[in-house]
Amino acid sequence: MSQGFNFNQVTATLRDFDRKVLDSIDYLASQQSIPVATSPRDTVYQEDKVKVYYYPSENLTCETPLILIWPLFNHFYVFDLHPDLSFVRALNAQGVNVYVVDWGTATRADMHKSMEDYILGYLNNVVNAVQSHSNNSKVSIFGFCQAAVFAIAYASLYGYKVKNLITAAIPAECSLDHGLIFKRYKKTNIKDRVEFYQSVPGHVFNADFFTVSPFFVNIKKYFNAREILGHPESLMNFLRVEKWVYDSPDQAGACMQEFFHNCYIENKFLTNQMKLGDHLVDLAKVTAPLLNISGEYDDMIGKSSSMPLADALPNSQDKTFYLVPAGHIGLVISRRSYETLVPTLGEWLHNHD
Amino acid sequence: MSNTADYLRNLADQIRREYRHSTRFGSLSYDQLALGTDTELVEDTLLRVSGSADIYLKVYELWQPVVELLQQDPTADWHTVTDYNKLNYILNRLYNIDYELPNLTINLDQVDQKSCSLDQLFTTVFQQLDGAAGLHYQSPTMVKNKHHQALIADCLTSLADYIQSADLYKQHIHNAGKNIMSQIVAQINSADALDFNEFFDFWIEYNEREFEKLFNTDLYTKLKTDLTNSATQAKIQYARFLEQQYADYPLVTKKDFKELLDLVDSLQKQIKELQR
Repeated sequence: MSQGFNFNQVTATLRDFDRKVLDSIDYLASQQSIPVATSPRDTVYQEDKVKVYYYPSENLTCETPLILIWPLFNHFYVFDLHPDLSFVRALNAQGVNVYVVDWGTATRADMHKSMEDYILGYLNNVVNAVQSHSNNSKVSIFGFCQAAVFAIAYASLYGYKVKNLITAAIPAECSLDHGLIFKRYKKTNIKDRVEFYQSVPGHVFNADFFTVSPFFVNIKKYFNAREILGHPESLMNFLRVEKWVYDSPDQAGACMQEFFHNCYIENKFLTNQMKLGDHLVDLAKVTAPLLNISGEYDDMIGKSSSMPLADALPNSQDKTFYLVPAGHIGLVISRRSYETLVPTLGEWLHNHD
Repeated sequence: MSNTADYLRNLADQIRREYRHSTRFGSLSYDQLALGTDTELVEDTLLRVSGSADIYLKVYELWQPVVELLQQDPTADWHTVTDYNKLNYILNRLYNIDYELPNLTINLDQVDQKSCSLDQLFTTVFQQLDGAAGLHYQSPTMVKNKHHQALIADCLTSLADYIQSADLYKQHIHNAGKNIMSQIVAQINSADALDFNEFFDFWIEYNEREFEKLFNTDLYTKLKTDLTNSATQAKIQYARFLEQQYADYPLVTKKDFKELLDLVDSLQKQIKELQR
């Protein structure tokens, strides 16, 4: 006799699902907040909306301080989501003093801020502040995605302050023809977006990003979340990531438009045509050692875009490419990344100290 | 007059009821959450979690009759028992195209009458506001001059472009969903009662893989970018129309605000230059 699917299994799954959601509401009703960025820190620099936080290592073994920079698209606290998922704590444990840049949240008042303002203005001032605070003449810079472009561009113009460069998921080669970043953004009218919004809301980019893996991002992730609903600590960790994902700051329109054209649309960065104001970003001037990191399962910026960076830096004599079994954001928040990337990064920093 | 007021009150009540409904789960209300600024995040996340269960159920409802029919007769025409509205419902939610485009077909014989009644409603209400509170509430003139007329035309053209793009995009996603459903039918072994949870995982994986192929095609890229670009352009045109519409009123427009921010930015840069 035909019966199709096992109906009892479906109803049991849904009953279990409902019960777990209701239990989770009961648990969450007893909580006061979704705590993030809980590691002890000092604010050592502030300019306009930009801040720099200092996370000292208790067993310092690496002399050169490390500056972590996240793209303008999201907030810095991805580096410190939770004590067990804290990139800064993991690096502190490796004996490294860490400084994290918080770009703040742009408003319409920031719509004219350009890449020059962010890189030669704010980032340069951040480096000066870290030099002064750490009593070191040179710093190591870790930049993720857009911020990796910022780090390389900075090093091409202020190389004498940069001891080491670490790039993660850098969109270097952008003449590729696939996905959201390298295919669709080439045809997206960024100028119109900036004209309308002036400072483009974070949710506009989130809407773009969520179309990359709609079945995973909109169904699988949440349906599988039923497994952790009854486990308070796992549930809070899930909510911490959700908080970070949806807490996307607005983008300064001018900087965003420049970045899209310099990288995704016209591929100027890798071809030595990118300018910051009147300053040409000449990649041949980058001499610092480079650790270039890519996520094996990164469906936003894959290794095909990141790997070519090495060839574009002819005068950096020490270049290492490192592939991590992680996705895009997973590079800094996945447990597998903590088991592989963090020890490798710690060792690399010590070897280049 | 009382009918209009009743209508507006009913509409407002309906909106409020829908809002309340959307923020409740089962018999519990999110009101009991005291997570401060994170309350909204938790509400949204739990709505997404419960939304995934809704998709799970819809996938079951879509596929159950298909699988049952194929168990009876593997050569049967499964399309006859497929509720494509359910498939489209799932895809609409996933691709955030969960809307119905307005049906603007108007009987030409009724145009004047409709136009008059709408105009009459606004005119009457705003005239009364003017009388009650002074000229600051004077009803804006709909068409002021030829420039304003051109702005209205641009606004309507860009809205038409957007509606056309949205319709094409939606059709493309729906057609892709149908094709993928056919591929899945060809792959499932329906001889026995099936484990739906395994099927659901397979359904997600298969769709994700196939839609990723679609995602990288030139046609999809064109349709999607036409959609987003036309939506942005429609917003720009509407903003320009509003600027002109309210130009004569003592309001700070977006253009005024931008000029002010230009000045602030210029002064900030001068200050930083002087500080160096």
